[in-house]
Amino acid sequence: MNETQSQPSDAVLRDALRTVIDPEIGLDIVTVGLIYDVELNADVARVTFTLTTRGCPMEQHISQGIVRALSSVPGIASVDLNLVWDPHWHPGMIQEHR
Amino acid sequence: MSAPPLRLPGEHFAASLGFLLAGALGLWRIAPELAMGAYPAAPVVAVTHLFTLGWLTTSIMGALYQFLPVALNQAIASERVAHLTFTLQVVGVALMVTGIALHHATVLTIGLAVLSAGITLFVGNLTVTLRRSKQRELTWWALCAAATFLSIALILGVALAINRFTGMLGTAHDLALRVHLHTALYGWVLLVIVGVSHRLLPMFLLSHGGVERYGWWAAGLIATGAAFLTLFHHVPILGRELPLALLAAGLLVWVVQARVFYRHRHRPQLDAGLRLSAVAIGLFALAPLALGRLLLPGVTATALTTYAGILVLGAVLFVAAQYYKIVPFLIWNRYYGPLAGTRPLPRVADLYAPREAMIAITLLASGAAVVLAGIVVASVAFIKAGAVLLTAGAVVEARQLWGVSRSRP
Repeated sequence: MNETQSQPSDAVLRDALRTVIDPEIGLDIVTVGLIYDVELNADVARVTFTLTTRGCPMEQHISQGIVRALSSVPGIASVDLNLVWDPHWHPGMIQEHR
Repeated sequence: MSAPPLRLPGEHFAASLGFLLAGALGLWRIAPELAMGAYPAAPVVAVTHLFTLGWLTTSIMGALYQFLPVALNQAIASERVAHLTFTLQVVGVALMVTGIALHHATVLTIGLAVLSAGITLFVGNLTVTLRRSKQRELTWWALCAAATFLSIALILGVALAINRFTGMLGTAHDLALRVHLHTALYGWVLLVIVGVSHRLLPMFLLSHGGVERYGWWAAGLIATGAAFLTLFHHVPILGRELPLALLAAGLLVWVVQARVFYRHRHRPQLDAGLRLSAVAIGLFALAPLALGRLLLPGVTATALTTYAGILVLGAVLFVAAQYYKIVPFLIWNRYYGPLAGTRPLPRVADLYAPREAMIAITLLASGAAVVLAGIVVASVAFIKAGAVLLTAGAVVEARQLWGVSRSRP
């Protein structure tokens, strides 16, 4: 297996993240606009994301959901989470439904 | 900051729904008194407190335990005290209401003592929590003021209850009742609604871009009005017309704030909870009109009963609406959340049937409207019909929420 085959693309990673939903809004976290960036260094995925509100009760489930979703992608050995509050999320960040 | 386990809010919500059902059924019993505008009658006072203390206050307590970590990044100071508070609250309300309804001094006294202990512990627990929180936003200020007014309402409520057997208040009874009613409904219930809804309505509606300062004005006006009423209740103008005008203005400004949130929403379709919230907000908009009538000469008992009815039923509907948001969310969070990222999961709204929820809110809203219409036109039949609708709505909602609570992946 060569390097290109073992490294999942950005689209593959984002598709995996779409399995995690914001249960109140009813959309996946990519469409909601919570995912700011996904970087891949070797086999480590670093996800920069936010939540709809500080102290969001879903923080644990969304964080763990991201880790579980990306860990299931071939070529990902570990996931590094980076929760940020700047820029602040607002509903205008919700993308058009796919 | 993690929320408390499901049990703490869950036990509050289960008991609250029981009080809602009892209150709705009680409306049938007190229909003759309501039609006459006999608001001080013992059965009316008893049923009113099933709604205000049993349904509204117990619901608020349970909801705050879940909400505080979200809004203020601060969990309740003591879960153990919160469980104790719950027991005292439920037992206290049940005994107090029974004591009032049966005019039984011993039962009432025990109920008051138990209830006072519960509310005092709750206020203490909430105060410690608020002191620990570093966030000084509208929600924080509103909850601080609400806790203060709950204490004042309790003291006056105890005095009014003792007065039923001793007559100790004499001519001050009406004054004490006015301050008690307004500190309880505006100072406690509405300030909590203003503070909490300032966080929850935009979140549920996905509202963005609207002016948010009206919420501050609403809380400020209501708190000032309730404070003036408490401090200067014996002074003409300063203790009556001015504070009542401030309360009315505060409520109207909050209605405007809520309307701004709804107009700037990114969620085109409203679910049952948000629809019933809108109905309740519309009902609240009528309260200042009814209050204005009270400031004119020749106030009738019917006008007073209508005014109090609008406030109580508006709050009853608003809280009932929040159950459709909070309970499914708690269940999702507890049982479905741990599976996030492993398989497709339902949305929170998928945990209940929307059609049944629409039936529940239609029954509740129409029940409240028919009861109020019955009070206005002095019709016992109308009030009884409204009681039936309200009870049916409460049964459908309780049944549906029971189903939600049993939902598992």
